[in-house]
Amino acid sequence: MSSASRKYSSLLVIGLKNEMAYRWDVLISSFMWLLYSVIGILVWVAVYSFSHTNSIMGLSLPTLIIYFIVIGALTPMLNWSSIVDIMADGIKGGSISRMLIRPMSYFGQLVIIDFSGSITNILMVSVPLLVGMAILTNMHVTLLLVSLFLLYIVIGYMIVSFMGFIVGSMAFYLTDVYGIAFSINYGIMIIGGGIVPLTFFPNGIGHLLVMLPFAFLAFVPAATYTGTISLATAVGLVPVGLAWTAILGIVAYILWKRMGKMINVVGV
Amino acid sequence: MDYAIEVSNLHKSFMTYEPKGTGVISSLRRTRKVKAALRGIDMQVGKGEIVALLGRNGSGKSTLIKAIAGILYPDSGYVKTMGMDPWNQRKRLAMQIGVVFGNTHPQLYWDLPPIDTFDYIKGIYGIEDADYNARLRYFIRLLNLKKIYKRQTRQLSLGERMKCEMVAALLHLPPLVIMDEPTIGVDLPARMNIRQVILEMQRDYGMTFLITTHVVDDITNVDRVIMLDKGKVIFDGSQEKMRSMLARDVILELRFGVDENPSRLIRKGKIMKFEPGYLKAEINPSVLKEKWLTNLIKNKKIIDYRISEPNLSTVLERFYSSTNKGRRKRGKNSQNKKDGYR
Ligand SMILES: Nc1ncnc2c1ncn2[C@@H]1O[C@H](COP(=O)(O)OP(=O)(O)OP(=O)(O)O)[C@@H](O)[C@H]1O
Ligand SMILES: [Mg+2]
Repeated sequence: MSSASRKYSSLLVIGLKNEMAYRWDVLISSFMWLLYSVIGILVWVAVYSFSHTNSIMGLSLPTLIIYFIVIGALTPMLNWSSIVDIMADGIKGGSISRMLIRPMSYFGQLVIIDFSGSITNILMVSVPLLVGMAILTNMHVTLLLVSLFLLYIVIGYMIVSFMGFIVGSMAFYLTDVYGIAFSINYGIMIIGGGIVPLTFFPNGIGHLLVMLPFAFLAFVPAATYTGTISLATAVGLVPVGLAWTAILGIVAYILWKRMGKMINVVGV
Repeated sequence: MDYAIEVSNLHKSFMTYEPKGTGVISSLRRTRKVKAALRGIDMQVGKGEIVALLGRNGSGKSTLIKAIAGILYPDSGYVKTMGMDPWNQRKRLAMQIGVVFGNTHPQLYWDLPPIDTFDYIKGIYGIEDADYNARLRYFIRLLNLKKIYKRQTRQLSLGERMKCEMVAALLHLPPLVIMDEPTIGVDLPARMNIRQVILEMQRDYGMTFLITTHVVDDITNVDRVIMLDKGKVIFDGSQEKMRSMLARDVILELRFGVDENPSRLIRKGKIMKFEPGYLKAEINPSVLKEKWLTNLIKNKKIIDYRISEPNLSTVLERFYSSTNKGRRKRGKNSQNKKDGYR
């Protein structure tokens, strides 16, 4: 094993052990994510039955239900507030020094810690939802579709990590960013297609939103998986996602180079 | 000489904000002040040395240590730690250093037993199984951790935790160990064991130590003492040098049978304590050779006498009170110049 992968896997191991110290919290949070997805679906069932239609803007109720199940599976993974949390806590409480004395990059450590917190949700929420839904709906799952979906999850994960890092860097200026992070998070859910599919937006706006990085956290992967957008469109969006990943990565890097120097570990 | 740490002309200021008033609204308006924590530090630590960094609260010890460890970016000046730029080569440097940051920035995972953190450290620094087990056994025996290291960290007492923090900093045998108040909350026997650990690591592996402390007996075995005051080095040298600079006087104790007027007994020096049959005075060593004193000691009324050097805490006490005087004097001047801070 290379020394870098040895270091980061050690961090992942202790991160998981630490999560397990809070096993009840973890279970409850998984349950909340499930509940969250069920509520989203029930709202749409109500909308459809009140409006007495089978299809809104070309989407049938079953398609929409599948769409929101996928969103329900994605949100616990593509959620950035924990990176912001870890950063803000570290800067306020000084625990950032524990990370900076390690022979690993700060960003790398944040991603691993965040990931060790997501693993249980992925195993207990995302995987069961995706697999269960594929079986129940008798979905025609092709290798291309699955690999495209997984690629989008990776892209989404990178985008969400960089965005979290950028917002978290604001903690150097504003010591309490959690409130901001939470409201931005909600806004991003909306313009990323996490609350209503982007196809519901007026055409011009919808097309614009699909090209923004936020769409890769919800709409693009979910629409790809459910076939709301054609496979050709889905493949065509890959370079857009990669471009955003690169841009956000560069912004995060520059920000860190500048902000990092302002860290003054408080206390001791 | 091969240096583990080289610092020259290092500066660091912090921006602080103070509310203008005490009311809710007026406290929103804040004045910005610049707090100079390091004001041109020059110091070196040679490889294999044990150096104590002393100074009053707020003198800049922790700030200096953070700059040396690469977790704080200085405003200006030069720092080299193990031959590296601590900020730009932080990751590479991290492989070579071990740190304890007092009680406030623990390395131990709060909700896990210390052994989990130790295992994690084994992983990041690539410690071989055999070495790891041997070192762990050594620390467990010497620091008496047998009943501790498998219990959840948050259940441990402060001293128990600090001992485990120490292990976490030393397990990978880093060539340089930087410790900010490692003995906070640690009891006397454990402090003696910690001192032993440090000496053995220096002897066996040539490890270098830079330690801050407010506990006087922690510095009994150090090779050198560096003292900071208001962000500057005001003393750098051996303990003997410190004693001779700050405490040239020796302590003379006399026991005698009959009540005497001490002022008649001691013609020079300062009387520190006088009670029936006992007298303690501070005198210049040159006075020891003066005739009146040798006569006094030979005097029949004197049952017993003792001449000794002042102990370390007396030396430090004197040191701190001397910096305090300087502070008051300078404070007045700077008020006149209207620059309360710099
Ligand atoms: N993050 C910060 N923001 C503002 N001022 C700071 C900050 N950190 C330290 N200071 C100030 O800089 C000065 C030096 O602080 P430092 O922590 O280095 O002192 P110290 O010698 O370690 O003291 P102690 O013995 O109490 O630990 C102090 O006056 C402190 O108030
Ligand atoms: Mg300090």
